[in-house]
Amino acid sequence: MLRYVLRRLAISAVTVAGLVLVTFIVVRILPGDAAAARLGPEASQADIDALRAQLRLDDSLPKQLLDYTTGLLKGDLGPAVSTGRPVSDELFDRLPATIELAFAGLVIALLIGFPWGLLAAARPGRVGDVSGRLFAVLGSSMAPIWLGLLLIFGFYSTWHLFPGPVGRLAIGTLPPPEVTGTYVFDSLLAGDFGLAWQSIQYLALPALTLGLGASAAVFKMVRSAVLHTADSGFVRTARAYGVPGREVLLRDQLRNAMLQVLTAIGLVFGFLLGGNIIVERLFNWPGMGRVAYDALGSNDLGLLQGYALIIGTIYILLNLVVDLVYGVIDPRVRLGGSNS
Amino acid sequence: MSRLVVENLGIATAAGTQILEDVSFDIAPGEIVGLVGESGSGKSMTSYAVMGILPRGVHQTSGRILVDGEDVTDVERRSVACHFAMIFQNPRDSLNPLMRVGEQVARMVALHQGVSRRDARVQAVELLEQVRIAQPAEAARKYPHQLSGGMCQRIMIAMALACRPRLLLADEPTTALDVTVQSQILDLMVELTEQIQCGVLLVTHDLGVVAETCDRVNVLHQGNLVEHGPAMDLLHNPQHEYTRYLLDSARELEVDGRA
Repeated sequence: MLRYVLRRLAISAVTVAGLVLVTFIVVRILPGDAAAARLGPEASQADIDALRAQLRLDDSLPKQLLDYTTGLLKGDLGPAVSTGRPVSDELFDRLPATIELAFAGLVIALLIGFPWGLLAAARPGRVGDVSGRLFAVLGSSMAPIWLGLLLIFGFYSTWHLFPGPVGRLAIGTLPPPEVTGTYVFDSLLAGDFGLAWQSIQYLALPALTLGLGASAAVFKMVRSAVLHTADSGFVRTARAYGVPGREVLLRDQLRNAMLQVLTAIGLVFGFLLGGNIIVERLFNWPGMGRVAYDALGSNDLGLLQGYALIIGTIYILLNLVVDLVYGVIDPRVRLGGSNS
Repeated sequence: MSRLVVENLGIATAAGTQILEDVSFDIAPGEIVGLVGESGSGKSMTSYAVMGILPRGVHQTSGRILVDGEDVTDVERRSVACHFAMIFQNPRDSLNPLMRVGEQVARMVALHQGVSRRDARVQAVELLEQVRIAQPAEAARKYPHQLSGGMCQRIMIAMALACRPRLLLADEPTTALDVTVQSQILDLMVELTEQIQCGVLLVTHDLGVVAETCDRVNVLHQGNLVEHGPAMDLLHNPQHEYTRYLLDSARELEVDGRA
């Protein structure tokens, strides 16, 4: 197991290094001059040159890469040209909001997709299965922006069940004292249940927008992975020996399907973290996706690079966690190869 | 009294294709009865039907199944209550890859004998010893992928014993194993059958296995029982054309094997 863990860690480290290199290069080969973009069309060539020198854009690429990676090791992602603040401040300030939203989306996706997928696999072709497949087609083909608008229209404008898309809390409400940066959790830590409830209400619609789409993916994966095990020899054995159906489903089928399901959950969470730019924009959610959206508008490539790097790193870490959980679940991974 | 009586068994697919037609045979306590035939003759389906685990889309159309004189045609009344056990062609695939083998045997002990988990674990190790696994306590902690095919089949047999079986169905139990391991497993089956007086239905295409282990044989051809009788009589003096054909094929293989 130790060898497996070390191997996974090494692979993740190499992947992060690759990610740093790729984001660095992509930003450098894009057309456009960051200095010129910041100073605007009226700027003189002398001003632009001065800013280029200040931002060290005239150094050779290897020198720039070296400076950049040295900075990274110290937690310095460089300056955000459009705002003048460090990129790391811009993004890490917003990270908790993004994580809170993505996590809420994942919880919704799992609450809907997981039991439904299991039910569908237990009785394929029956009502639970057919309705689930219909739901999955709808869920995965509906654009988040459209679904979000529908939810706002229904639950806010028409029925007034949830607050409108104005961010994480009602305008004028003070956030809870910061511990983790996630409002629901911090409110609970501060013992302010009213504030926690308000945070949940504001979180509900954007999380539902993200979660409904993702639950379709979770449903499909759970269903197919569990169904796939139905034909395997050990399930036949368990059935033949009279093991009760529910126990076969949970202890034999689901456990063996969990490897695939976990992979899917890791991917879905990564997607929810990085793919919610539009949802954050729609609900005025002050997360990292909003920063990236604004950075696109102001041509702030350094900020975009930082965004890609952070999201990419989180993705790699998620995969690492999934790989390590594999080792816990599957003795074949933990104890090394098959001897067949 | 016969341990198992199968009367006029018929099986068909949902589409209406008849897989098995009017098949009848019986097995006495302590007797090993062979069911031979080529691929697709319906021999595995016969064992699945008796066990009550026909695959999706296949169902029983006619016939009765009796165990010790009791009618258990209704699937609900089989398996646990009847103490049926079954072993399969690919022993490793038949075991849950994520569960320790001792745990898998113990699970069947607990299920079929209603004892506590701790007692079941102790009994599981005893069963592993009974199927001649050296260092049974250590083997019980292994996962299927850490054991050889022959060992996995012994684990399957231990699981079968955990059910205190009145009837053991063996579907090509040695086909996937090395020749040397094959005879060890067959010897073990013969010995245990004698010891616990269960009936055994041995499904195989291998007439060598039949000669070595079976008391009587049924020959299945395209879903019909074409010949049955004591193993030695049938192998030395086959009556039906198809049986002779099977025997000739086997002999040819044997000659090829030696050449």
